[in-house]
Amino acid sequence: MMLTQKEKKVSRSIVLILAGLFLVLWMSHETLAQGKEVFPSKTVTIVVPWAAGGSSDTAARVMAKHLSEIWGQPVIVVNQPGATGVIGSLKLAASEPDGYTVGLLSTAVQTTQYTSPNPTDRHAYTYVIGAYFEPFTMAVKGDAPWKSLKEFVEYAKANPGKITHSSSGAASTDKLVAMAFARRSGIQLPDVPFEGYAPAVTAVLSGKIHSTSATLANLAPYLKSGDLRVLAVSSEKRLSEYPNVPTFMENGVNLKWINWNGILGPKGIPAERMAAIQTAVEKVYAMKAWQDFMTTSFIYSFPLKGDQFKTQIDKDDPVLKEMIEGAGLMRAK
Amino acid sequence: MLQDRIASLVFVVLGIVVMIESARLSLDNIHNPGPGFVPFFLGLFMVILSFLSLMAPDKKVRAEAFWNNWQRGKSTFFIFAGMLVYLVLLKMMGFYLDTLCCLIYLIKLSGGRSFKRSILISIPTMIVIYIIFGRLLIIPFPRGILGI
Amino acid sequence: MDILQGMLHGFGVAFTPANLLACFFGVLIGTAVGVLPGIGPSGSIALLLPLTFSMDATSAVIMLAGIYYGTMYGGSTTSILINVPGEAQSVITCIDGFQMASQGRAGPALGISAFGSFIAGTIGVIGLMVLAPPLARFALEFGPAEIFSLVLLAFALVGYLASGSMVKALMMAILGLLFASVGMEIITAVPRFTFGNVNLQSGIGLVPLIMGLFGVSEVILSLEETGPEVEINAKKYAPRFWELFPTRKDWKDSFWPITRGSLIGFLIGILPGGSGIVASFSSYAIEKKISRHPEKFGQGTIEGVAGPESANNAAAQGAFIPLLTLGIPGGSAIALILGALRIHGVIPGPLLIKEHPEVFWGVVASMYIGNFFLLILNLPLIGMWVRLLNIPKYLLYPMIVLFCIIGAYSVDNNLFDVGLLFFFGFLGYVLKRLNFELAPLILGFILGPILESSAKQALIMSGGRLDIFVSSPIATVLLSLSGLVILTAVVSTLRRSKAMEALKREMEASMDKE
Repeated sequence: MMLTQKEKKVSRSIVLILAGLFLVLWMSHETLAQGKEVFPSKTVTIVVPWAAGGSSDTAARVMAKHLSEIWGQPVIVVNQPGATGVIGSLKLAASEPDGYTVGLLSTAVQTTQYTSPNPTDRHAYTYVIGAYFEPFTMAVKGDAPWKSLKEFVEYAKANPGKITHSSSGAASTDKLVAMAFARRSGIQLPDVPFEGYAPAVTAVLSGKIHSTSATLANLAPYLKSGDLRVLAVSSEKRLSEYPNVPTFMENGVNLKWINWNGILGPKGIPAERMAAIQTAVEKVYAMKAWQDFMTTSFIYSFPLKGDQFKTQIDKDDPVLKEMIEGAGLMRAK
Repeated sequence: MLQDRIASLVFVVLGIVVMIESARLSLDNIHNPGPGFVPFFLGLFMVILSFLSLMAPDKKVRAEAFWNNWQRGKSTFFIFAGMLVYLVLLKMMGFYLDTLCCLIYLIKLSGGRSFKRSILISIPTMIVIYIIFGRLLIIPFPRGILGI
Repeated sequence: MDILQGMLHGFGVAFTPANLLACFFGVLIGTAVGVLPGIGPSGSIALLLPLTFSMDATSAVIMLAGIYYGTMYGGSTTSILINVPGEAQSVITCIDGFQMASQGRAGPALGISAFGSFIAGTIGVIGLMVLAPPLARFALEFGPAEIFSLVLLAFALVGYLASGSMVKALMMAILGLLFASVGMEIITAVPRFTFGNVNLQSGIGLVPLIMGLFGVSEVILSLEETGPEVEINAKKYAPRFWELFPTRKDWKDSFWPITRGSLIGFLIGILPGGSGIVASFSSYAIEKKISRHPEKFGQGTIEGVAGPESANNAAAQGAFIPLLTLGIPGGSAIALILGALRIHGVIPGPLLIKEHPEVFWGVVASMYIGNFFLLILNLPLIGMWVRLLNIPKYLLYPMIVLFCIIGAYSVDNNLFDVGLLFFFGFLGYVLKRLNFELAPLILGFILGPILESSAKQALIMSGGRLDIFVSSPIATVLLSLSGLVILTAVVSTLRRSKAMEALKREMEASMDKE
């Protein structure tokens, strides 16, 4: 099919217009800054190693929205899920340490050092600033007969193997917490892994499974309606929204572990860029919009930054390793 | 018939490999199945079924093996070769450039008369893709060595 | 507030200009996404999530929901016209839909598809409106043992999907099950068949698998069949206007399939593990079983299009029940909508209807409107789509491959998935050439993991005892049904082969006589 004269003209102009459009968009994307740059001067990417719609992803998007207002540059969230966060975490560690690519990583990056056949390495990151933490829980059905953690433990001791527990995955942190609880209380707590928090919580809602250790965000709507009840939380102190719920420690169980989320980057981000990110993020934390978000999502402030952040992670590592070994989940080559 | 026999044979081998690999992963028993339990039996069924299909070949299959007809299969071979090249070059050339080349190649292979026409169609297409998927929807396509 | 009040409130919310626009925009994008092979509802909802930030919670969900059920409309278009599913859920429509198109009946197929989708969608919304809370509680009765029995029943229906050799269909189902076991095992987190590759640790993605097996392989096959030198359709496909619409007979034949499909789809959509594919496949199997001419399935019967298309639309509406009444997402796309609600500060749960009635009723009302928009959008477009067949091959096929690549990559932003896409494209080509049917493979791939995980979960719950599978009435009933289906399938296969044997002997005898 040979093009007619007119068709040739039309297609030529289309190509020219498109080429022009392309060039304009292209140039605006890669701004050629002259002289001293203000950071950031182009798009910042926040990598989330989980699927879109989850709690980390939600928090990252809210953060990205406010950060782009503060910086006047686009801040986009890129999801790179897979292998319980390993794929995205490994890709982040391998990316350019120029401060333009960071990630919202969580406790999972520590756990997968030991549980994943392709392990992560906590030393491969720059620890910019923490975002929030979530405590784990011991939650049961609203009409269950146990009014306190002690009653639960007594029942489990008297009826070994009859109580079942649901977790969000075979190597998930909530399972680690639950198994540690079981070991340190001296009870049997067979764990049924599901794919994610939603089916794990649903299993308890339906009464088919007796308990779960999901984070509060996943339990909140059911706590409010009374369909579920929390017997204990895994944080260091009681939570302000639930002043009547004791911690594991208060119950005599030597267990305190939380799921932290924080902004990490590949190792070697220049100090001034790291400081710029920290300043901007702290501004976001001060905003009412962020505080409201934290309240509705049941996440709590975790503002450790830089060296403090890394030191805390390193300190917690042996505790985590013991929990993983105790649960029989060491897999790393 | 021949191609059917070869296919069944391949599946038998596949089934056996699966069974061996699963056995390595520990089977345990039906009350507490190990990770290899399910794949082991899947492999077993595969072997059984493949044997059955060896015994009673499918009557609807053409008599001639499909890889024998070069005339017809020429374009197919080139497409697969092209796909392989595309994958190998992807990290180096970056998404846009590599896919652009892929598009040009495919259009020519599918009957577009000349390379010039292929290029004329491919470039505007990739530009539109860049605008919609790269900028509007911000899909993070990987960039290549040249930074594109 | 009771249902009537709720609906009035809902329509009040849905008819505001902002929400009408959100709804229209959503279904428009949904249709486009559905038509484009490769990109599916999960991918597009994830990509458009940032757009919803400037909206309020209700408008955001209205738009995203519109995208979700909109893709169920558009997905059948390419399935029917070029045997390439627009998105994963439309795979079943390829079977009879494409055959109809090859016989020049693309218009009626598209038409029945659109109408069936509309009716099913509307039935689904009515179900959502009237029965949401009790149905959601019913769905909670499905624990691992019950899910196992249900999926086993669905799996037993695989036999009805096969139009050719049963042995080969079963082999494909097993292959699908094997592909599904790649990844970390659900109970022990031990990696299976991953070859040490971190990208396979979470298993093989559905999109690269389906688009490779059906999309890429179909392109290669078609190019091979007719050869690049020959322009397709030497005489262009130019149907007369009235040939575009379903005939009266079509309507008559489709009535019951659409009704049954809607009900089946709706119920499956509510249940955990139920998805568009499972719904459409179940409808197809049931229609084939009930039909007076089952041998015609696979050659282009309208029932094979009407039923599955209705089922997957009804399932899309049903999927919102657990989300809106209990805050439980039934699939990845719905989970995204859950996330969108969370970003807007609305946490879906049992109290959503009470605390945010405008969200619940507004979304339900918008679904009526959305289905209506979709019908109006899709019907006139049939004429246009049918002309799609006239696009020269050298444009159409590379574009399909292009969109498959983009779709496969954008699921997890991982290049490995593009590699998988081509691998499955190659595999699909080889399998099709060897006369293997691919639908059972998809079934095995999707249902397999659920079967395995629910069985193992149930066994942990019961401490290893097998009687948990008959511990509840639901589980027992479903298990017995599965047994029945498998038994009848085996018996009829044996009978068929015995009949074949007898026929062969007769023919040989008569040949000897000559």
